[in-house]
This record gives sequence, structure tokens and C-alpha cells, in this order.
Amino acid sequence: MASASGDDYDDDDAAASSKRQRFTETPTPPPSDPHAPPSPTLPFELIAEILQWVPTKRLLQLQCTCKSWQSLISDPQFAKKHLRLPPKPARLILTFASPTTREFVIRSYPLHNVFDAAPVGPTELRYPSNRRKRFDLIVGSCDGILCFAVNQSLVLLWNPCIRKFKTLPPLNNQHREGSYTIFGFGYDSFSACYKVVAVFSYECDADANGYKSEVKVLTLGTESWRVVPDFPSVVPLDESGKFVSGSVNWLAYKSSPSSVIVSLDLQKECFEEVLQPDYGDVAVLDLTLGVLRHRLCVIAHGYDLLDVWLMQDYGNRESWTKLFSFPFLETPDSFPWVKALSLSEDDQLLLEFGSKLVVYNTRDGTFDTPQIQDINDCLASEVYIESLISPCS
Amino acid sequence: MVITAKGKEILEIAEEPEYVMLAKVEDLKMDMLRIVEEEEIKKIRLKTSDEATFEVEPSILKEMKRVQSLINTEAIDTSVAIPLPNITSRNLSRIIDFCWEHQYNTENLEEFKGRFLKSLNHQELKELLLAANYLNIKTLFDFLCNSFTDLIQNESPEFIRDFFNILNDTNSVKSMHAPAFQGSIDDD
Repeated sequence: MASASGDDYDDDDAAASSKRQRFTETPTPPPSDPHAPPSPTLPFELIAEILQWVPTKRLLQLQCTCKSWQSLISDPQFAKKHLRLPPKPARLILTFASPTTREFVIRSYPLHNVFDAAPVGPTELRYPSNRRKRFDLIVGSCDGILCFAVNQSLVLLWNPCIRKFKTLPPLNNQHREGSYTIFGFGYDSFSACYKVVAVFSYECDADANGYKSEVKVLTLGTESWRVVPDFPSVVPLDESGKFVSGSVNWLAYKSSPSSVIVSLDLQKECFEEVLQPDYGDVAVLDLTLGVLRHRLCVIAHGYDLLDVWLMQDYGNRESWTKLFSFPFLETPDSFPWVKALSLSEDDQLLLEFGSKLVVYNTRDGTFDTPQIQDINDCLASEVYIESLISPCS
Repeated sequence: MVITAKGKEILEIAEEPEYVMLAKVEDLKMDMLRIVEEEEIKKIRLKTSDEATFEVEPSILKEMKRVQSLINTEAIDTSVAIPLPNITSRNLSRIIDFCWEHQYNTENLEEFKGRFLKSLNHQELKELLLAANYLNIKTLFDFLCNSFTDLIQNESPEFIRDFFNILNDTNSVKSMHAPAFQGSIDDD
């Protein structure tokens, strides 16, 4: 029986073991060269290159090393480089109403643990608000910044990892009977800016669909909302816009045929319709829009199955691919709320299904409940990464 | 003396002749035959700080962007070895090994990388990073940067300052945690 200690690895085992273990072994001294020169000092530029590879949380700890590291790690240019490499592990964020105090609670979990079906310990995040009895809506996340809608007029951008937040100037849309606002948040790589989009809709008898919408965009770094004209004559339905490939996408209702996907290109700031997949013989009763693997995703609700479609090449209708179908968890009396959160490398799909979080294993068709405490009480969920990107810069 | 190791030939060795005994004799013969037949013309010679001359084949040179740009822009005389005054023969040999494996080892690359790292102490790791930066070899440079990350993952600030030769110029003793919030959205 092999012992569990790390002493008896042969070479192959050691190579297959973690990098951490490799380093804990005493390095072999050079076989020759008795007059070894002193250990070289790495220039600061090279140290900066190394630090780009360090995980976000660790970098924040390393700020105390010296002043030059501190200013490097808080430099927005460094944050951008750091974001690009290597891939940042994703985290799941959940919001709750505390069962005892009814206060707003936010927790985050490493996403890979959620898929592993191992019990996951939460990290409690301190939402930047002292009024605890609030239930702000998660609009979305982009590059580690989470976007919350405080109300119809107020948006909060928050990077929980670096604990920086920014409240945007109020929208000041005139409140009307039946009016509502749907927000979206994304990045325009052309101007290298984050943008928040607000679609304000209100009843309007003059319009064919009975509703009219006005769209405003705020570029992060500026202090004002700009009007973006020509929103098509549709009724936006989604809880929030979905950011994919430089565009924010909404599901919207149109009298005929039924639902459409409307997108706003964040660079050109113009609207387009994203053509939907050919659903074949499936009688589609309802649609849900989402993002999986950085691609636009549609879940089409049939009578007994849900079909998951991915648009592999954004904007190209031919690239819609049906990934798989899965059954309803319980016989639905009405269509449950479904949100696709993440698709793991081994094809497990994390879903918000009704009021539950479930993991659907697409390979053997089984459902699992992640081992997260209070999981079924969560109000909202989102997937984000830990980055150094500040909403304030 | 002419010894061919995989992907490289070492023509003259001033020091450390033991270091070149890397490949099996059979491999050497095969490599020599193949290289003589196909690629002799395109090979470039590199001279290290300890006066060893390496003959390096084009597929490896391609990875060394600095050498590539020297060859392309200055139309250098390829009969003369290009001097690399910052790089020792030991390190150049390691670099060539890495580039070779990175190109041709499709099955056990991770295993090779593990062995490669294990053979380096801290000083050698730094020397190699400097060399990879000097020669502008992206694959090796990124690999080493990532390896430093693992190395400092759980170390104390004192270790890190010592490791990178950094003076502690922070006035106050700061906690190892991110700063707390300054205000909240409710503050006016």
C-alpha cells in the first residue's frame, strides 16, 4: 500500500503532481560551477511581468511588499494586462434575504467547487450599502465588475474583490404608469470603455405593441447618460441585457411572430435583431436568453423538454448549435424561471431552475443539487471573475 | 569535437564538456544524418558567455525572436557565431532543450516541464528568466513567469522581499488584506 506522504514519488509521479509539490522539493544544486555568481536581481519590468500571472487575491496581499509593488498593483494599465492572462477562475455570486433578519446578504463561491459536488464554504461579501433591507437586482458582470440595479434610476458598479464601487448618476426618466427599466452592462473594446445601457419602457397607445422604449447609455468615466435613438418597436422582456461579443442582447416581445432578440452594438451604438435558431418541429412556448462560454445562449421551452442552443459565431444565424435537451425538473404548472449560469468543461450545466440551483449532467442526464448551504433561498445568481479592474477609473 | 544532441550541435566547448552528454549515441547518429542531409545550410551558430559555440537549427531559432531579428535585419555573416554575452552554455543548452520539447514533444510536454522546473534552483530560475527575456522566447518566458507565481504563492512578505531583493520601504505595517471600504452608496 502506497503511503500518502510525498516522499516516495518516482519521477513520473512527481511530474504529474502539482506544481506546488515540485517546488517544495529541495532543488538540486548545479553539478559543477563552484564559483557560482550571486543570485541575479530581476529588474522591476520583469517582476511586473511575473506579477501579471499572480492570482488577484494574492496580488492584493502582495501590495504590502513595497511601495513600487503597491503602485503597480493599483495601476489601471496593470489591471488590464493582468485581466488578459492567465484565465481567472470563475466564482458564483448569490444574493439572499437572511431568514432571520430579512437583511440583504451576498455570498460568493468558487465555481469549480459548485460543479465538484463537494460542500462549498461561502465567502460573505460586504455590499457597499448600510441600508440592509434592500434587494438590488444583479444586472450582470463583466471583467470582475458586478452591475446592480438599485432601483429604476440608480445603478451601482462594484468590484467585490478590490472592494471598490461606483454609483452612477441617476437616470431621471419620468416615472409613468406601467414603466420599467431594463439594464445591461458590457465592454466596448473599440473605445476600451465599460458601458451601462438602460432601456426605459412605458405604455403608449400610439405604438403598435402598446409600449414605447427610450434607451440611454453611460460610458464609464463620463458622468452623463446619452440617448441612443431608434430602439425598434418591440416590448423588452428580459430581467437584464446579456453581454456577448461587444453587444448587449435582450429578449423582446413583438406582436408577430412572437419573441425577438434585440441587440445593441456597444461600439456603433446601433440596434439590430439577432436571428434565432431554426427550432425545427419543437413548439416553442417560451424563450430564455443567457450567456454560456462567452456565447449567446437560448433556452427554448417545449411541452416536456428544454432545448439549449448556442450561437457559436455571434451574429451568424447558421452558427446556432443545439447542445442538448433536458427535461423539466418537476411537471410544470407554469413555466419555471430558468437561467443558464455556466457550462463546465465536462459539460455540466449550472442552472437557476425555478427557485433552485441545479447542476444538470448533460452526459448521463441526471440532476444534482450543489452542496451550498441556503441554496434554495437565493434571490439572484451570477457568475463573475476576480479582477483588479476598478469601476472608479 | 562535434557532438550532436537533439536539435543542437556543440562544436567547441571551452568548459563543462560533461554537460553535453544528453542524448543516446543512436539518437546522435540519427540526428546528425538528418541534419547533415536537410538543414545544414540554414543553421546558425551562437556563442555563449563561457565561449561555447552552439549550432542551432532553424526550427529552434524561430523561437528566439531576438536572434531572428538579428539575422533578418543585419544580414550577418553566418560563418561567424553570434555572441550571446549574457547567457551561459548551461542555460543556452536548457533553453534549446525547452524549445525543442515545446515543438516536438506533443505527448509528454507537461511531464517534461515538471522535470525541467525540478532541475532548477531559485538562482537558475532567475537566470533563465533573464535569458528568455533577452532572447525574447515567449513560450519559455510565460512558462517561467507562471512558475514564479507558484513559487511565491504561499510565502511571507519577508521571503518575497528577500527573493526579489526588495527593500521594505512601506512606512506603516499594513495588513495583508485588501483595504476596507471608504464610505458606502448611502453616504452623502
